[in-house]
Amino acid sequence: MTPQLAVIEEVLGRYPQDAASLIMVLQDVQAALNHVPDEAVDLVSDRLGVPRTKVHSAVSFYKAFSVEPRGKHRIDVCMGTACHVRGAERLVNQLADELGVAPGGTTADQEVTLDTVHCVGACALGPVVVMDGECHGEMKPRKLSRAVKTCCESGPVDKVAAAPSATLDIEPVADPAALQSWRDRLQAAAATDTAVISLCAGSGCRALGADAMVDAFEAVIAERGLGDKVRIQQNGCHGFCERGLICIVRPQGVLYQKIKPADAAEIIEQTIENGGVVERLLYEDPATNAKIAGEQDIPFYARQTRSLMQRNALIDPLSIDDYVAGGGYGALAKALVDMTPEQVIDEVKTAGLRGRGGGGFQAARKWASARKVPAKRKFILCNADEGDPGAFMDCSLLEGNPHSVIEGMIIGAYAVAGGQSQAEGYVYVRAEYPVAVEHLTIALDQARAAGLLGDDILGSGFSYDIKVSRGGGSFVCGESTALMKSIEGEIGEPRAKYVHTSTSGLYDSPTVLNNVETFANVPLIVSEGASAFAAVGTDRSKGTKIFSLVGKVVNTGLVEVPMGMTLREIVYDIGGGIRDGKAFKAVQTGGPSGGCVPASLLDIPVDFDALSKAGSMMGSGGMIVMDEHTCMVDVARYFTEFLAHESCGKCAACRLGLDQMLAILERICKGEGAPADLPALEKLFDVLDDGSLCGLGKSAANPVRSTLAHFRDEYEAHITDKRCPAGVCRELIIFEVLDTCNGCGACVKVCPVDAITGEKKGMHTIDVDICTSCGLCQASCPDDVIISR
Amino acid sequence: MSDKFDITINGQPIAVEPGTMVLDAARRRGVPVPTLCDHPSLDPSGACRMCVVEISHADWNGWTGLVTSCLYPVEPGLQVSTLSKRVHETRRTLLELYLARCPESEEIKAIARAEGVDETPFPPKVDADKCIQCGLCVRVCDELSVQALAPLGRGTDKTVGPRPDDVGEDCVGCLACADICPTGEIEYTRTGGKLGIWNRSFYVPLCAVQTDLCRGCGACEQACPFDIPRVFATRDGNFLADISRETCTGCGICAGACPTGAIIQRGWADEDLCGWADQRGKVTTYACDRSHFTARDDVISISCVGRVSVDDMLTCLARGADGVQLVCRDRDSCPYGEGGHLGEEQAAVANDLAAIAGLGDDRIRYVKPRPGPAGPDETVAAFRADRDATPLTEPCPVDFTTERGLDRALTVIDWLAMRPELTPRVPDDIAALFDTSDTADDALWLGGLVELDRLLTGHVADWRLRDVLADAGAILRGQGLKVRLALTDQQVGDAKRVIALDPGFKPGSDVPVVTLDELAGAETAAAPTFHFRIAHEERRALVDRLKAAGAAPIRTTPTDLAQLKLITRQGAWLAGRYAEPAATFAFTEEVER
Repeated sequence: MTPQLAVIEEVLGRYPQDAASLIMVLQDVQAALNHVPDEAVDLVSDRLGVPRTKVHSAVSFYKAFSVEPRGKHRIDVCMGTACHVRGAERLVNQLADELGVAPGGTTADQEVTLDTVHCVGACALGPVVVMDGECHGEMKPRKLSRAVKTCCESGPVDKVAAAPSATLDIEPVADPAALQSWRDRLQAAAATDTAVISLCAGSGCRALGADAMVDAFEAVIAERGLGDKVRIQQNGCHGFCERGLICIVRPQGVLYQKIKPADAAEIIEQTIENGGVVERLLYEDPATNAKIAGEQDIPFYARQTRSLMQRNALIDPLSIDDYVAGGGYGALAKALVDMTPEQVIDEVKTAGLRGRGGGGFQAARKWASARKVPAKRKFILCNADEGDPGAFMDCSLLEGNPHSVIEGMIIGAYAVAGGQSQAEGYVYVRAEYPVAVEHLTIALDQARAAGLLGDDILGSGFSYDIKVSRGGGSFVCGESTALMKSIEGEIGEPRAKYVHTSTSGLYDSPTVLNNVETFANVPLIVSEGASAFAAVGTDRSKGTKIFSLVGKVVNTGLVEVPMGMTLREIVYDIGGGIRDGKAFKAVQTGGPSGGCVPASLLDIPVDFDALSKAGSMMGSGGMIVMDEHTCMVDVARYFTEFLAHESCGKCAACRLGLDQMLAILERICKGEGAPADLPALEKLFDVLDDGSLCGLGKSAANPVRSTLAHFRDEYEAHITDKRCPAGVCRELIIFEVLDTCNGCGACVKVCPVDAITGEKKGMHTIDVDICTSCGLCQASCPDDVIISR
Repeated sequence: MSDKFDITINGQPIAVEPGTMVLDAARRRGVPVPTLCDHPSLDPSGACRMCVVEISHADWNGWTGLVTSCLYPVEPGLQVSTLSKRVHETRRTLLELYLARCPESEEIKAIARAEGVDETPFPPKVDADKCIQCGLCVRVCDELSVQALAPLGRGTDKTVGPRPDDVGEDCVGCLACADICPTGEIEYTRTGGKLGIWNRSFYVPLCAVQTDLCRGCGACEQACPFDIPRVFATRDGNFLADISRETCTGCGICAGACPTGAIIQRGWADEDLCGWADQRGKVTTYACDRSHFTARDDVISISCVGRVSVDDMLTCLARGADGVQLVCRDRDSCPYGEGGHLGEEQAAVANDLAAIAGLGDDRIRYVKPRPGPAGPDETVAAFRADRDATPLTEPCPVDFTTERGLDRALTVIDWLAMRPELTPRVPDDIAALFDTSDTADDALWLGGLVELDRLLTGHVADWRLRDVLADAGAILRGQGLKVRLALTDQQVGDAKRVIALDPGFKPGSDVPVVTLDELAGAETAAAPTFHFRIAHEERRALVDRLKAAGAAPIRTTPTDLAQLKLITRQGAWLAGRYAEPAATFAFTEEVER
């Protein structure tokens, strides 16, 4: 047996030998061999009983796979919306130039593969580049060059992913009383005097070096012998990514922001040992210049209602003890013991919980209709395929509080199948979120070990288990029917939903699919009651909603607000307004299926219905703020390009319609647009809306339609005047240096065509005849004196 | 089936079964709905988007929506419009997009023109192929063949193929994909006995005519779905068939239809086709080798089930098989679809013959495989599960070198008729022609006539020995006679008299014989010997004799009738040369030029 075959055999051994394992087997083969060779296709086909051509089809459908070997090092430039509006494209151009390969290609020496990725969930730190799995945020041209050099000079990365490990030394709880006594024990132990440093280790903060910060803290603790007095608790995302790294020292409740490893000693000494605060690391209110120590006093947090996000900062996601101590699984016990499945559904119905994944469908209605269908087995699935570029709420919930999602799923499964059918579950999660997968897997193992998942949960007689299905890199797999196909090991082509999935979904069984955030809300509803939940929000949109507030806004991060708060409050009061004093132009919500809301509509309340009326949608909660330097035609082109690549290609309206729409937008952005292009676009809106098979196609016109509706003048400027007013579209702009240039020479170093000249410390000039408008000079200028027009 | 309910289509009510799709309901109502990805043999997919219709309902507060009619199940009170402006415009824009995608496709242009779309506002794709991603090829291969094709890639760059380099590693060359492709994008080549598709080359089992056996009857011309065999007159006045090597598809259907066994298929000897010499304890399965039938040792893979002739099936049974099964593939998506039809007919004939021989009335069956990859195995298993053991105690020895075609069938039938363990049975439809009584003093001697009637069914479709028998029945009824029917000497039993249709047809017993002619008071003609291998001269003599007789059918012998029908069948080459046979034999032969 060749070594390659041995690897494939080993990978196959990790999974059950059926079609449902296909995507994950291929992912592991790709990870181990850097590509999926033909012999892997043959062997996998044989073992899993999938026709060879279907394996080839899957390899070609999902972005995660390649048939050509990829390089030893892997550099992925995030092309999420937040990163795009912050100039990710320039970074791609720069790397393509420096490495001499186009995106998707591998250098001739097989060293580096350059690729793009649609969102890695570190949107607040855009633009982001992932190098060998490590996220690097706030990239600038020169920083990027250095980081790439370091990455390429390091040894090859260890391909064998360390198996997730966490203590499974858990006493199973047989009934609700045992759960309560476990909780009592934990709470009693927590009452002792241990100080806790809660450090945010969410996706953003990891990109800023949270790991090094932990090491620094631990070194100081060891050095000072404080091992039993101080506990470092690594949390999921706290939300305030803009100010990362962030930690909260408890019990004092002091929040330190923008901390660095060098600050570790001072924090411990001043706060824990001396009971004081480190003034310079406190948040300073830009309006009043006052230093603020308490988390809740910071305006960013003060205006939020953080019923879900708050808990992220209180628990270590790898510790089921932390979750249980905070009341975790109490709602499950209540549901299983005190409530019938119908009562659970009623409670969720009274709460008015609507799906957080995009559509805003009543969760209880889905559950009730699936409950009504007689079937031997039913599926309760969680959609964690957070495909919207520029959104990372679900990522942060799964990373930061996986047990809350699991608890919500078990309650949902009980409501749908309790006392009636066999219940089975999957979490379909993006493979681009490796930490979320890891935390979720560990949490599932823990819950199973604790008797909270699996057979006869808490002695109730109800059984339910959850498996993890990793997505292979496809946006359309967030669509329910495509997601189910993907779990079954097929390519993610949606089907018409005239027969609802609650009647016939996964493996033709009644299936309920809810999003991560929806499930995370369920335990709250059960434990605190429907009325408490419904007290927050608007008439038809209840509860809170988490948004990823990113782009050109001052305070980027995750914000959780009551439904009905206005966009203006979110962008200005919580988000702190636009960066660098620029003018607000639009906020994009709802991802590629949503639209751009202009300044004139900033006062609309954010709920499912108002956003739809404004021509956008809630979506899963991405909120990308755009300023005067964002070209709306370019944004429309960006989303259309995204959708054209992510369309499954099955139905003609979407496949052919998007192809033509993209061609038109590309022409307009290049200055080759004609007046007839606008009516042609409008014609395509109709065919996409009316002629598409699934939700992706039916909503695919939204980004273009909304920008055309609100920013028609920008389209016309491109077409008629051959001008990009925002200074973005490469073919239509020239770069100039303002006379405030101090001649630092940063631009000269990055210019790939040597178009910039000037004396050191003197004003520089750009030769427009040589300049290719790549924009690297502008991105690298520390004083912001290079303008485009 | 649940109760029907009403929906309206373009305002017209139509009663539909629950579960019917709107597209089917519309078509049943005669309302045209254009489609590019619909096929009667395949599950609907919804890819082409052409079939969108606008729906509404009295209870929907005026809400209307566009839905995919091939996938939308009817519901009571549904109002469907196929003519609304929204439907029309969506369809038009789609066609404009298709025209831009496939500017070279005449098929797309024709469909667009039919909808009034002559040009597209969108720039045509450069170097475009003609694939419209309707998915028919993938679906036909998935559902009805070997799952060797799949969509590749996604989004606007999506293609179709067996794998990225387009090598059809699991392809069996069934051509269903090429046959079903609406734009002709999937191409194949067939030259010099090789079939090329998906970068694979398949051996074509070409058909060829053995001139010494061919009687130029034209059965091959009629059977071939591709119109390839040609019967021509030779210099010496004979007729011979010819099959072009260049165009033959190797389906073998002509060989299955040839009554004289004159057509051979490259790579197949008659003996191979009939399987094992001793088939006792076995069920013989013939399966289309272009279906999703997985290779099995106990299955005879053939180019088409139409290749299996009646004589082959009977031979298998005579060699002791418990049953014979023809497993076809979906005919609507098969370029050899007619072959399936022929196979089905021949299986029915062979099954009837087996029943007459006393082997039971469900020995031979033509089946369509169940869909899906496990379908064929299930199909075979289901047939084998409840097959009774054959009553035959020893296999029939068959000499394939001397017995061919229907002659072999007759030899086998004769052998079966001699088996003591079998009791031949006159089929009910023949028995119904006579007034019968098991205790009648007269036995009507049918001999092998009944088998002959069945055997010639496929070859003399428009006028069969049945008419002779019906006439005989009428004569006997006219005489007020009840008869017992005898196929064998045993069945003559204790009858006092045997009635023979003509002097050549009588049992070997000592019982007094009277011919039907004598009963009817007519003169007796000389008995010819029956043989299918009739030379041209014999044929001419036969025709002359019949012309001279100028008599009603009953005046001639059944064998004459059978041979005459065989040589005057409606082969294309005969059209215009022979007049249609009238009630009397008033025709002329103009075979000489």
